[in-house]
Amino acid sequence: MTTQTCLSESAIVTRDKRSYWTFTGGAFAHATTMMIRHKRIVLAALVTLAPVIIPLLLPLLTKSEFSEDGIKIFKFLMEQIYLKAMAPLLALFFGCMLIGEDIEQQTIPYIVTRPIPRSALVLGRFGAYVFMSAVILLTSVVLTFAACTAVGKLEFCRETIVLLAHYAGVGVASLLGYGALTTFLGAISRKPIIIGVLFMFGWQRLATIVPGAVDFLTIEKYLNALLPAMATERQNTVVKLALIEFQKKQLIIDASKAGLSLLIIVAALIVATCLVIRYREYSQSRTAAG
Amino acid sequence: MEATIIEARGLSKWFGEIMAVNNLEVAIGAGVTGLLGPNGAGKTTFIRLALGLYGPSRGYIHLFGQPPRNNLDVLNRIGYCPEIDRFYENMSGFEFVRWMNRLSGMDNKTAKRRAEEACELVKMTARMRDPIDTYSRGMRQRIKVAQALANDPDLLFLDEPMSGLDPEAREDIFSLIRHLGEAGRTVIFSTHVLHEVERVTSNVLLLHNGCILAQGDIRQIRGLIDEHPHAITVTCGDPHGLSQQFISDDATLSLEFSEGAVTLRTRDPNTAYQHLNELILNGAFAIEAMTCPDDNLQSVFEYLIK
Repeated sequence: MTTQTCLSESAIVTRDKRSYWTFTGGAFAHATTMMIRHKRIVLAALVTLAPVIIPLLLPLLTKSEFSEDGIKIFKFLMEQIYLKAMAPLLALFFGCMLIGEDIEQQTIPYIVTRPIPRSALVLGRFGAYVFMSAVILLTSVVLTFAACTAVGKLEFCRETIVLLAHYAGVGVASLLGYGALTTFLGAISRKPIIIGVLFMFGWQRLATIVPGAVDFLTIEKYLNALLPAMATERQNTVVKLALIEFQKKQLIIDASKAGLSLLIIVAALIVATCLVIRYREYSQSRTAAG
Repeated sequence: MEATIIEARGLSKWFGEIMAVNNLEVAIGAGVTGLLGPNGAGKTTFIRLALGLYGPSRGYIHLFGQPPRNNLDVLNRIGYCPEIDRFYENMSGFEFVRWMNRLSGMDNKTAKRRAEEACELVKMTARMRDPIDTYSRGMRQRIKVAQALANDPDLLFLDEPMSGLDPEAREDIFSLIRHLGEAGRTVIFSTHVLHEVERVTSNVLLLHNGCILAQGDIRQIRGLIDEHPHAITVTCGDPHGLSQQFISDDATLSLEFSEGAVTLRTRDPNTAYQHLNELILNGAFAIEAMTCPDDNLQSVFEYLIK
């Protein structure tokens, strides 16, 4: 080996030039690259794009009035499929891996021994998740919208474009909310996907039928409040179960308060993730270590 | 440059009921220091405490006069080659080093250039564009060292860097570590293989069961063990005649003969060396070689852990 032991003389200069946003940009670019190269992106894209064919298939499968009403189909798909299933799934696909994969694959020591501010690491990676999942989700939403126009009663006009933009905005909001949650779970738990599934598809369903104001402890509550006013019926106060039927009192919040609440939840979860990375001791092999 | 780079006082770390390191008092300056001990001695825990990956349960550890945990100024000056063989597998060695540079705050252009330089330093230029999952263990080890060096650190932690390396790669890494030390860098080199440390430094920190057994120059440590006999092997034409000169000395414990040589074990090495010097100067015996087989980490380590 040569006697060269130092890298170029710019080393010290480079250290002094490093800014917070350079770190954030590095974390964003790294996380984006990792997601693009991950095999699960293909699965995520296929699953998310699957609803596009529903409006095209429905008229062939059924002759009901619903199957010929493009606007109803679009609203139904947005509210029942994209916001309640696809956005949570994308968050589970990518949000959990932002920090959790480094812990699982034991590459976290490389990351946390870099002089990168923990907040820059989390913000950069979260930004990459929002960017990637939004591209996938919005592509599917736009294609679904286009497919619904082919069915009828959904014209390509200013009013429906606004409706599309509104739903797209709520879709991004749902990615933010669920993504912040799964990012936090990935940093704090070894089983983020299981906990995430239980929360999103277990607790959030349960909270809508349990008496009391427990639905405020869900993300869905705030997302529902952001939906367009002309959307299909919500705030159904009669809960029908197999054995009982009861009146559930629901407290309704307006869109601005819901949006603000959602932002606070996202910020709190991001801050909590930063604190977990800052204070957690990542010790994958304590007993084996020398 | 700071005289003491790493300072620990009363440093302890326990995990539940397991005491990983216990009341360490350490002061390490520039140059290469071998962190030596068997598996489970507390070497990796000590390194992880120094890197700030763990917080101390008691006591403190400072790097460059500051606590390392979540201290970006300290992290900016260190490089770390972990023991564990883990990477982002779906990329090349060059990309891995480049991305680590980006996470160290370098812009893309600088990160790329420095990754190329680091790969060259560990002789991986020819294969650096190949996927990591096609690398041999030795190549992966080189890439781990490259990512640790890419930030041009003042303080480098190498946790078992020779693990899985072929002889040529070992020589390269030995040479690199020696030169880093000569260049005034601080290198903490952990291993449980004693002769590896001897190849790069005489400055050691011996750990066993989380405690320090000895710290400092291996010869000074050897001197502290005054009850442990010191061995001197002298090769000469008349080993039996030479042995007569020492047999009446009270400090002499034993004399062992081999072909053309005698190994003397003494409790008073200074007097023995002085006596040997006089014999050489007098020309009484044609002394061809004089070695100290005990000046070897293996014997010191075995003695210390008894």
